[in-house]
Amino acid sequence: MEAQHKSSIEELFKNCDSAYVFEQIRRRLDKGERRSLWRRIESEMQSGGVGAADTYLRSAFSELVQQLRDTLSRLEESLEE
Amino acid sequence: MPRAKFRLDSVTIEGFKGFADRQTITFSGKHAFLFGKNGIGKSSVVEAIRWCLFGLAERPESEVRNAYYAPGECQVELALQGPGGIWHIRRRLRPGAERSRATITNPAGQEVLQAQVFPYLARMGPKEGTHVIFAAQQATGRRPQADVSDFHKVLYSYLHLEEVPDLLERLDKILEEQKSAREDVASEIEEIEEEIREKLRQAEFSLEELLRNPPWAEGEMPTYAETETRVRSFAQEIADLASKSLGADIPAREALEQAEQWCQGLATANRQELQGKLGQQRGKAANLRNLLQALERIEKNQAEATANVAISEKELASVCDGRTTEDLQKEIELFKTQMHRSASKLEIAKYAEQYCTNYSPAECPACLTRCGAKRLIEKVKLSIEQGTPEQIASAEKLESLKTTHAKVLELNSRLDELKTEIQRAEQGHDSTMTQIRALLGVSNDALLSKEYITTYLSSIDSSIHTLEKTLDSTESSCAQLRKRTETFRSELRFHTYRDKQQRIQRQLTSGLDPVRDQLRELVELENTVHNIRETLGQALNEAIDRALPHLNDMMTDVYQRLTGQESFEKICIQRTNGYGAQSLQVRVGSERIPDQLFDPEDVLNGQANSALRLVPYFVFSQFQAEALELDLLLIDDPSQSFDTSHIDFLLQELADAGSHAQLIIATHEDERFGPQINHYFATDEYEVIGFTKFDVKKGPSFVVDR
Repeated sequence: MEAQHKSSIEELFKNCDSAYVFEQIRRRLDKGERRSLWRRIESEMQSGGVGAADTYLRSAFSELVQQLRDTLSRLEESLEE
Repeated sequence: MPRAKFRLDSVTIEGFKGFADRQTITFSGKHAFLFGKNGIGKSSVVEAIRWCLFGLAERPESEVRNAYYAPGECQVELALQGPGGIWHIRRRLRPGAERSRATITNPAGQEVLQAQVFPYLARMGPKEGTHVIFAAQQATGRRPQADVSDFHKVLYSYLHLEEVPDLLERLDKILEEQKSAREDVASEIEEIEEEIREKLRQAEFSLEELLRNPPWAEGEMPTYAETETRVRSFAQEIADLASKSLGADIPAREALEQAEQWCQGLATANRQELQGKLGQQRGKAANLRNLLQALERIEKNQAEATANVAISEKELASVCDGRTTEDLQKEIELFKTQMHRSASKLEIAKYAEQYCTNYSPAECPACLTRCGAKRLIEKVKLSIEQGTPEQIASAEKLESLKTTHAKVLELNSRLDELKTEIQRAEQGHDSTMTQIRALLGVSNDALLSKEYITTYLSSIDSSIHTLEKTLDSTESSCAQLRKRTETFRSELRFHTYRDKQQRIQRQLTSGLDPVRDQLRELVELENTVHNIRETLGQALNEAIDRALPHLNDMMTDVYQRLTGQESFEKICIQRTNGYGAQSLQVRVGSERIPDQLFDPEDVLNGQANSALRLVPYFVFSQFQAEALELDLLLIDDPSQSFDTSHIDFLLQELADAGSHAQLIIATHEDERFGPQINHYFATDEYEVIGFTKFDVKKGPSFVVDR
């Protein structure tokens, strides 16, 4: 009886947790790049929680910004020649 | 209902709040009802357990220290029944310390991290879990514990959704920071692009300036190869002139520089040579002119001296009148002798006259001739008369001779001077001529006429004029070479400007392309993250929207049973836009006022407000107990939070919760709870601990009532 009650309540909330939400994201992000990034975010969260995903994304952005700045620096150097 | 992995076995308290000496209260994993009067130490037990689990993050921890406890130690230790035996959580606030430190040890006595053993507990702060309830005996001014302002966190936590809003908040922050960083970089790119465009404008301006007067005069602009050929040809021309060798692989610009240096060297050498020759010729001409002038002066002096000699000789001849100087000298000597004889004779006569006058002798004292004194005086006087004119004439003659002699001497002296002068002139003439011969480079015995020398001087002047013209011509040639050099340099500059223009144009396109591509890549990542964030936010809202109807019904049901609220009997969680602190708001409503919801703090009394925080626990504990490692429900004086007229409902809810949770309930209403406990809990499932008295120095006293 108690088990049935619990099961019926769990049924009510089964599609309301993070796992289901993340599953939805996997389904909705159909484009390769978005899905790929989301998989990486999920992978980071599985290994180190949300903080790890945060760190990964900051690192990805920082890397691109740094690359951009390096390219800019090289261009500036070539301007001075 | 499955139980959590850990149960509270005992709590040991020292120097905390009302506790002084170290005391241990044993629960043995059972529920505990702490009964006793207010102010006797029950709440200190509940707060000690809570402090040991969570600390006091938002308040100074020193306030939990018992100021009357002399050793100054403050610590609480929980003994937990868990896998493998007894685990310990110990929190200690060292004497004088501001912050406490907690340690967890396993049954083997090894220290472990909270996140490893109690991950759920580690995620939940003391405010987020409704399983820790305080409602009673709040100090004045302290924030009420029954706070529903962070209800959304409680619900996210119980729905196992807390990762989603956390991730969304982080994504928003990252996107915000990234936008700022990207805008900074984009701004830098714009500045660099403008800098490149400015350089391009300058290069184009220089090129236009040069093309207004192109160095290649008429015709098509040359290719670099053509310019290079011309420059090399010119450089070779100069190299030949300068007897130099031009390297075969030397670039055109260097060849031109080299040619220019050679040109300058040639010009300098020619100029020095010509100026040297000019100097020599000019010096020679000047010397010759000076010598000629000197010669003319000498000859003039010589002529004047010769003329003066003739005059003097003529005058001498006139003065001497055919006599020589020696003749004149002899004549003077003769007259001097005569003058001396006649003077002596006259002198004797004058003495004789005086003798005769004085002594009247009859005979001459000299010859002893007897002629009488008178006659003698007459003869003497006659002699004196005759001798005196003769003496005067001789003196005059002598004087005249002396004058002539002096004049002759003077003329002779002058003649000597003139002759010396003529001699010196002749020597000067010879010396000058010697110098002229040397200057002209002829032998010392060569005969040189004045005309010859003058003609020679004219030829030097002509040579000087020719050298001057040659020097002018050389300077002109050098100027022409310089002009050609400048023309070639200008032509090379044209190629430099054109190359620069083309290079800058390439920088503007292919140089900036990688930058733009990388910026695009950055924006794409930003868009991707933004898209993920939007999708995540949407999925979160959908999940919340699916959960809320059931949640509202279940919470309303529990809330009604607990509080018996009649005025605002309905609980409704509202979702607003967003997912942060205000995204889920707990509201209460009534059937009597349909379509209108209220902030509980505005319409509910304190008890009902406090009860609200317990509602999610009862709702979710019905099916999520296994999620908690330590399922501990601490309730301090429930009569402050619940309508105790509904004590049966509350006990039923507590009994339901007690099927999985360990209850620690402190209340002064033991007479109301005590008789009912047996109806809802088996006797071996709980302990009743009675607090009997309180001593400021020793702390509370309690007994276990079995």
